[in-house]
Amino acid sequence: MDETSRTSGPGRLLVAVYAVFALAACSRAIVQLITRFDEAPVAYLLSLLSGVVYVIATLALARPGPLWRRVALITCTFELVGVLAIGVLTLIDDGDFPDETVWSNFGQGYLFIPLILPVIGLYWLRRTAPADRLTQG
Amino acid sequence: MSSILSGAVIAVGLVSSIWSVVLFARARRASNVMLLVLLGLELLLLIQLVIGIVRVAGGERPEETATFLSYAASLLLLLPAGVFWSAADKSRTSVLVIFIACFAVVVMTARMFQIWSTVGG
Repeated sequence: MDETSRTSGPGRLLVAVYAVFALAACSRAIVQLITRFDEAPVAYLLSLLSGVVYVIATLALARPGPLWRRVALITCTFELVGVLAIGVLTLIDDGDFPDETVWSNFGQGYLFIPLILPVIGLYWLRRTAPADRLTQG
Repeated sequence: MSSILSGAVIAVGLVSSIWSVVLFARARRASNVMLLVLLGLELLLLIQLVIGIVRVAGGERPEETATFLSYAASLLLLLPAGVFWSAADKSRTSVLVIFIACFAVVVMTARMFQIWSTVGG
């Protein structure tokens, strides 16, 4: 498959779902930061970070070119690591996370979509990878 | 928040979601009739936002007022963005972008309804 097919067809759907999550994570984080930052600054800043990463991932998945492909790879990987790390942390200790982020409990509050989404994203990037990249890696 | 209005939003949102899946199955693109229905749904969302603001300003406060209002406002972005993103691509799957937008409208409106049920509680 050539590089342009990455942003077409099923890639459009991926971008759409990412955009919804970018919106959800960012608006949630902004509300948390404005209304009760003092309660759990770490969790809320993490919330904002996840939102920003979703925005960058959305843009990167929507744009053609090897640079954006690389950015998409990095952000999708970051999300996967983030949702797994925060998932485990919230499982071990509720005390550190008095309020939910999109990644808490492996994204349970969002139907586990935050856990599934980066996996699908990484799969899609792999599937649409230019042929020379595949032979290299 | 009005339960009749949110009920209508959820109903139209679900019908449009199913409709877009049917269009995908039959390898069709969004018709003008569908775009008109989506325009109607967008108007309902606008009325929903206005009613929400008026009732909050009138002193009715759900537990998560800020979240409630941010949902009501964010909802307005979904359908225009979905229709635009769907129309900009000629592939068969692009009609499913409308499904995602409509389904997100349904989920977010249901969540708003849930938040509103804490008023006075």
